[in-house]
Amino acid sequence: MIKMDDVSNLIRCPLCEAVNYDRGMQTRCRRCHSSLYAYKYFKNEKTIAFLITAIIAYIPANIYPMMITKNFGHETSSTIIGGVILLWEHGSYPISLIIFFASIFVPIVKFVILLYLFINARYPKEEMSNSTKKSMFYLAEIIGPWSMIDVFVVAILASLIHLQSIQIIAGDAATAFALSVFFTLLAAQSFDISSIEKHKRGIRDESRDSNTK
Amino acid sequence: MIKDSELDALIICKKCHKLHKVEQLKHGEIATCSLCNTVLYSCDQDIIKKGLALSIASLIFLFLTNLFPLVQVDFLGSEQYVTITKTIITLSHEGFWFVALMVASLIFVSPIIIISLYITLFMLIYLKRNKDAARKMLILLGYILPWHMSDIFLISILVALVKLIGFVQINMGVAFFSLLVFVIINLYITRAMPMHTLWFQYQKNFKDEKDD
Ligand SMILES: [Zn+2]
Ligand SMILES: [Zn+2]
Repeated sequence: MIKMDDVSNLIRCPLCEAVNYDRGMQTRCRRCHSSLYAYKYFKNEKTIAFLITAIIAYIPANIYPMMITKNFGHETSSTIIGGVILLWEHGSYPISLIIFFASIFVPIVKFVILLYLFINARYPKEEMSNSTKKSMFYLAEIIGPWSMIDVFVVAILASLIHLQSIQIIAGDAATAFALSVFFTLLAAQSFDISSIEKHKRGIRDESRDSNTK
Repeated sequence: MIKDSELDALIICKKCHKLHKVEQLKHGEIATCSLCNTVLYSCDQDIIKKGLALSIASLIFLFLTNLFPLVQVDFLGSEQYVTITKTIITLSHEGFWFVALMVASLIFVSPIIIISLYITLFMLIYLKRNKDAARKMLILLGYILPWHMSDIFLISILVALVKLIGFVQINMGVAFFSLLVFVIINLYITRAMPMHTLWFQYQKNFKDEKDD
């Protein structure tokens, strides 16, 4: 019989959301037959590879200019942080806060959450309950896409302001930032959420695998 | 050994992962998580018909969004406008091909695929035909949904325009309003018909048929 307070034997398929009985090395969801959620050691290795790539791409995204404005031959370029500060100084507080939230707060929060969850799945410490950790992952997934705002804004301005006298051009940071967002999305998608619980059982899991096969 | 039918009577909250038993709801009722209040599932008898009508409507708005200018600005007598395709083309012309590729897939390709999938899926489930194709489409939909950002693009347009206030005269285009309607309809579809509801409808309507 199923105990309602114990989800450790049950997994939610991230693709079709069906509840599955955890058969350890069993790889397929009973409903959509996807092998996404299964207990595979290399799964989170992929996550960390994507995550490190995203963090590396985030560095040039902050160093190079995001947007270049050519005003009657006079060129001004601004980085992400530079843009936020400039908007703040000009009194556009809401826009400044939105860009700060999207381009600085969201990526960093997402990096920290995913890194923490990855390390915690490897070297378990019971500082937080599993449901808190799962809520953290959910938060990272929900806010993640919003970091695209600045890239979209630059793309719109670059194609809209294209006059003889004044021009807006995207900077190299746009590519770096887009790469960073792309790899964080991949990292979140490849993260095996069931690994948050898995360390509780460990050895028992493997003995059960050999029995059911 | 737990049977599939027993597992089908369970649902795990997407936010906090608390396990719940699925209960029989009356028409119009909504079940929420006892721990975090997230909506788990709802009961709507006309969900397939409603979904089909809404996704066809949003396809029309998607066409308008991609055909007409989003915004038009007047600056020192010269007029400039922007469309979704122009945004993508400008980026690739300036050598930002990765950004162009990403913008193209997030706000141009993904919405078209998602809406076409919704329309075909609702039709197949409604007509109870081609179970295997419906299953494949549901899986594909699950993969593509996270790669759709029309709502974020809409907010970005507003942010870009606020930056331009005072420098240029701004006129909103037809595509901006159709994008707004598209985003609202799409938000309703993803909220009222999340993946597990679609899979539930799939299982319910293809119950009599053999698997594969
Ligand atoms: Zn599944
Ligand atoms: Zn919950």
